[in-house]
Amino acid sequence: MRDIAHRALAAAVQRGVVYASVRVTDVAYRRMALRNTVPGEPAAEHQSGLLVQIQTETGRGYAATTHMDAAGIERAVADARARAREFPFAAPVPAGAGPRGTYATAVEIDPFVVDAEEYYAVMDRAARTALRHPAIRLVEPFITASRVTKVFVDTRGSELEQRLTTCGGGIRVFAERDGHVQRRSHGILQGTHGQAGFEFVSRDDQESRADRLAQEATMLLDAAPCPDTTTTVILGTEHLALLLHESCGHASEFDRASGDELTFAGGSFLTPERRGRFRYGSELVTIVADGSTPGAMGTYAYDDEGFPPRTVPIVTNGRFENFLTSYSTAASAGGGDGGGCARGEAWWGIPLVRMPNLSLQPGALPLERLLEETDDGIVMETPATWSIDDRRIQFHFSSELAYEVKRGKRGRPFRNASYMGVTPRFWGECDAIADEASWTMWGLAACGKGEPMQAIPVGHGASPARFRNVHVLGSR
Amino acid sequence: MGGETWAVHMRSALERTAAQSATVALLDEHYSLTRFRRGVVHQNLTREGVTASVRVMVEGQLGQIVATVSGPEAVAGLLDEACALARIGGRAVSERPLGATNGDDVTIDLAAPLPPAAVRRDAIEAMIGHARQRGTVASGAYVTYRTRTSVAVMGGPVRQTITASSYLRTVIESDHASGYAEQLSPDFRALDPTAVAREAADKALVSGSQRTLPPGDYDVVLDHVAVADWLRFLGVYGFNGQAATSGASFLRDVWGRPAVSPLVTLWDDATDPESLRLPFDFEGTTKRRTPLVTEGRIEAPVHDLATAAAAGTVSTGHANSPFGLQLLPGPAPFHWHMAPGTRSRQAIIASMRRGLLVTRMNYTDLSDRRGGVLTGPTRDGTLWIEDGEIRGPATDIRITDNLLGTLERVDAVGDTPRLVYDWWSPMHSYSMCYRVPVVKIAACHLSGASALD
Repeated sequence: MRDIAHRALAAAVQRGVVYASVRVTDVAYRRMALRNTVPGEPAAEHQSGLLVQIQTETGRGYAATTHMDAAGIERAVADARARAREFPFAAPVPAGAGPRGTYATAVEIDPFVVDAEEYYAVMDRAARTALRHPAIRLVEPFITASRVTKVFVDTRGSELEQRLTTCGGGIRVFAERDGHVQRRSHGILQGTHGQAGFEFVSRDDQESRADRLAQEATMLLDAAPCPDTTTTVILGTEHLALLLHESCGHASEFDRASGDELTFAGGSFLTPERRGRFRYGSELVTIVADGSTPGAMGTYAYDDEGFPPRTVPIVTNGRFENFLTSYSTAASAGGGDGGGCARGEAWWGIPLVRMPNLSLQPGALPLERLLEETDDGIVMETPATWSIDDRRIQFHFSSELAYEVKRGKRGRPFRNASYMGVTPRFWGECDAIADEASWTMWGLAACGKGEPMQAIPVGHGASPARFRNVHVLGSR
Repeated sequence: MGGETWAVHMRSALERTAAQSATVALLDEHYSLTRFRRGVVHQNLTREGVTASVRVMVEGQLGQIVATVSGPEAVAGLLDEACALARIGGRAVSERPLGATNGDDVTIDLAAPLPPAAVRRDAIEAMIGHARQRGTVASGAYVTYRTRTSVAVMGGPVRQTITASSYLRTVIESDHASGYAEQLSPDFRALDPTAVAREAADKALVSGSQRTLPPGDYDVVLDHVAVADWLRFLGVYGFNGQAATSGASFLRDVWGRPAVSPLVTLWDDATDPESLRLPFDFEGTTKRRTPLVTEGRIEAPVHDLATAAAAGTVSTGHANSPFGLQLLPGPAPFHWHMAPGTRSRQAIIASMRRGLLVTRMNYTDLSDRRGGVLTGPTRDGTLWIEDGEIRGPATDIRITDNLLGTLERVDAVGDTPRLVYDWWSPMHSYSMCYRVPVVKIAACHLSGASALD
């Protein structure tokens, strides 16, 4: 891979550039699943290719190809250069000597050498546990693993090699009676994942979780529909992880604020003039982005422009402090030393500003106390569906499981619960965050952004938190 | 490398594999993307590559592998890998062929030429220039695809097609609002960049004070792209054969029955030259026109070979692409058409006492998938209508309503269909596309507004 990268860079330099970089990427992926106790169709994926970026005196162009022989490299370099000359664009040129380094995820058990039988054994135990509950008709456990190996070189001498290994999975449990179905699952959308080896799933207590999810799905069959009301809501940690992602992570990406993503993903209500002044949430709300948390999905040593990740306070005590930036966008964003958040999908994705790990800092209250101190409200756990507007102002999320809280005690369950909110108002009503004991880092395997859509892994940590005056809805 | 050589390699690999059944799909793409923001091109990319998808059955067990490859000569190795995967997999529902085995080898070239660089540049400059002339700023994208798709089935034919598409879109911002427009065509020569910019700018420049509507029920005109945003969910969670056979489809109680307005007639047709065409699906089944809703009656789900076998019927030719983002599990309509009505968009607006014009939605989802409750915010051209005229911009709102219920309340359909994408279409070669007119829905439920204050 290094050889290919250097050959492509040399070809670019030979044609004359102000700056050029080459990223060669190899992606391996495997997915195994059960449907009840029957193995599903195992799937594997293998992608490799390169992305050339060329900056000339006038502009910047990119070319990506899976053809990495001499002719393919030449064509990609010629294409990138031609693209760079088509339109004027004043891209910042990184100065100084580039870094050289390697990084690899700490892996105890390589998920790509583990026998399929072990994958199936982990899932089978969970499936059988769930199926002991009579109302459970369908259990769908799954495990995925990925390995992204990438080499980045550029004309300032950067030479970086990273190998990021992830593993994770999830389980969906369906209860059914008289045609009425309820689902419970673990994680967000596609389960939860970590930058780790097979130990991430083999050491997880999936049987206990499957048992709990089966109980909850069964219980929801008899649950009352969630009422339409305005009340206090306590969001569980995985639900908050998704809310953070949608309402803060994407809102604080500077390329959204600057209009780069207007036609598809949209803009942001967090505009440059609001930086340092805007009240995003209550005093309790502090949200920090970092790309260095060991084991988290959004962790890396260098981004796809060759810069290390930084720890960035996005919201401090409720005040909007900083944007997430790439090197290419940092100067426009202002605010000193920026960058470190540029990532692109696989072999072809132009690096965009992508949130790394973005987390809500824990509060001081044990979760039990937080519940005890809640007189009347609703707890919402795993997210079921979600929708948010293009500027990340107004959202509507639904939840697989909701509970009533009365005088500090968990009460009856509700089905089909959802809530709507306006981001700064909603976070402004946050009056309690549980402490570190209930803080959990969740891993999303794929967050979509860009044209065409690029999928990137991200991490989000949170403890459960309480919000007042929330507009709660049942199913219309 | 020519199509005949591709066919020879694919057939040769299939003849030598240990699989009892196998399907190979190859995608050879040339993709161009030019994005501009607020008058400046900031991303300009060309991408080319070949990706293979191999699906096999070995001793009744299934395995699948997707990989970038140097060319069709790599297929034999992938078949071996897929067979190894299948040996650890589960048994198939039935030991049927994995692709359509009837028919002859065929190569269908449907591709118009791609726009030369100068045409692409002129188009973008025309859009940016038009916006500037009117005191606004344009952001947008010009995307082209040229794709050779080859599907080979063990014991069956090798089918190949070459397709192309060109797509222009823009968001234009004035000092008080934004407007959106797009054009999609299999032939770049049909695109009119200035018309795209004009339409978006017209919406961004609608004068009048911005109105923030309280929640409630309002008559709504969905412009073409918003109609597509609606229909996507009818397909993904309604007509999807997998959802239908598992009982999860929100259409489960209305198959074969009148359930929506008689003004609504929908079908899927990937052979219509007015749409983006694809002569066969990814299992090699020949595409044909498939009725979905006929004058308000919900017809039947669409199927691939697996869901058809489960439902005891035949494939309708809707096997999903195995490439790229798998946003859609199971077969779904990808080439939507809606029968036009008899009234112009202008006449529909003129008939309204009060209501909203919705240009497009953003990140729509079903808040209750089994119940078919759609929720989504509007963007880039939400306009207030009163006494038959557009009176001014409205704050973007969220619509939360039962999808079937809204289609039941369709009381006008426009007379001019357009080919568009929906918001979710990730602009992959095989995104859902829609040739649809504007639609008016009575008493659509607005559940909130996207306002900070």
